[in-house]
Amino acid sequence: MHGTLETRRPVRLGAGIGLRLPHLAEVAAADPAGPDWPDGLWFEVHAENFMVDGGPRLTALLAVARRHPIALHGVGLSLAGTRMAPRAHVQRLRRLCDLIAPVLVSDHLAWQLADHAGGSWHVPDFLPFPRTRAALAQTIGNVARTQDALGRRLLIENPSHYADIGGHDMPEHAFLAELAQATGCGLLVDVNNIHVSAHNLGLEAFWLVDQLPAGAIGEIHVAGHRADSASRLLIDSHDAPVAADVWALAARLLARTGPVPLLLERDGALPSLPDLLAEARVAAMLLDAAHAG
Amino acid sequence: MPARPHARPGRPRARFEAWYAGLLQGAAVPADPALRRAVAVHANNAVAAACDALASNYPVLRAMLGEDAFAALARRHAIAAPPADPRLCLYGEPLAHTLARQGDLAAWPWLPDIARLEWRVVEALFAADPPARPCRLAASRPWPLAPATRWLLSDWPVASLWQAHQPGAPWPDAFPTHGELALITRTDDRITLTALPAAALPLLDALHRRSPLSRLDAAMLTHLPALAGARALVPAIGDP
Repeated sequence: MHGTLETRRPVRLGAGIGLRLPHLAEVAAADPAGPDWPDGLWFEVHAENFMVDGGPRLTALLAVARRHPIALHGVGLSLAGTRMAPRAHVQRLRRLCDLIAPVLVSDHLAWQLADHAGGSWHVPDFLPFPRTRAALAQTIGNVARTQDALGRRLLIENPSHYADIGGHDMPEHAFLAELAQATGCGLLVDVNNIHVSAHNLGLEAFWLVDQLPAGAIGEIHVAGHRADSASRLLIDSHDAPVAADVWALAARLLARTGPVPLLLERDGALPSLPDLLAEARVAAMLLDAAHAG
Repeated sequence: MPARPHARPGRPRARFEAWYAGLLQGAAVPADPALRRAVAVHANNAVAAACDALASNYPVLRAMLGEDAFAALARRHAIAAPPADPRLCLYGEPLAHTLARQGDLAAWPWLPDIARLEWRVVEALFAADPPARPCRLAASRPWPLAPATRWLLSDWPVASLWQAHQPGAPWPDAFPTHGELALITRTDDRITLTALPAAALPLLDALHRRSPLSRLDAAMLTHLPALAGARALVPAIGDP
């Protein structure tokens, strides 16, 4: 049987890295006092990968969680959709929170349940939607209900965009600000998403970052992207090192927010754990500057 | 004046989602090239994530088919039966069905059973841990199977085939020419797969039905030590 971790005391989070399955066993077995492990290191995992009844994967996550702060990042709540995730999914997330005692829990500003042949297709991506007043009202209801069911605050991640679908009543920063104000949720700002979206939609990334409600921001993501081979788009691919422009956006946002947890995400072409930790040192330096500033 | 149905909050949003879902599935192609490419990126991302999950859940089938043939199978399955649940680690149970409908695999008739076996391995990998305290055996009560225990009876030597495709496993001089009953267990967080005599199947079925030990006949009981030794049963104490 897995024990449940005790509720954590508040901790100051430094730079974190997205912990992917190929690195899980290595991190679970590693000595956290080793020279390569920076102070305040924390890990974020994809919540759905651990919504299982038992077994070695969950055992390894618990071993990591005993020594490092863990954040849960989900792609399954469909918070901006007309159909929310099934209640069973929310209950599974709640059980995982009870087991792991995560320091942060987040999901996407997206709808994720597409009709397919009379059933549902779960699309783990930022499917777009018109930011109407009706969409805001429904998202507020979905986030509030989910926070009530989880008994904790959620962070909501800003999407990446590949086309302007039109039909919006408000810009994204206003949508996010009203959502945070109405529900008390926080924001997870992925500055790579902002960089990619600004490029793809012809917007100015620094301006977009400057409009975000700094007080609501509870976490920042940085990640890599790549140029699309079939168009002039940038793809939010997470399969490359973080670009200098994206680090610059993170620095600019940190100057407004002060130090907030900063996470390096990498999903594709996964480098070794030491290489990821080395890249995360850039994040640690930005946080040091935010603390000093 | 009553509100028109489409003016109710949520309806235009639901229509938008249905429209975009149709685009993702190729029901229509947007005239706007930017939207066309955006839809393609989202569809490709979703199908790629599903295919990656299948590749992770079916490593032996992948090795038997080869990367290209498996990728084609996975893509066909992901488009026909995409994930309904965000837990992609539990995606792909009906892959054996998709495979069985594929006519050009007639020369390798054991492949659907390999897929069925690998799905049971996935189930075993993520099943609940056994209870920490041993159960007390009594003739009037069943001896519970461990939560991770699974099995498959096949006309093909699926256990031997699976074992030969494990990393570092020796390749046998020859595979058995008869079918096998493959038993899957999880011990100390590792999956173990063993071949049992087919005659052990009635015992597994009886234990699955939670038959009391007193109802197990002598022929069944002869296989009980093998199951206990393979940790297919929950830890127990007492002498029934």
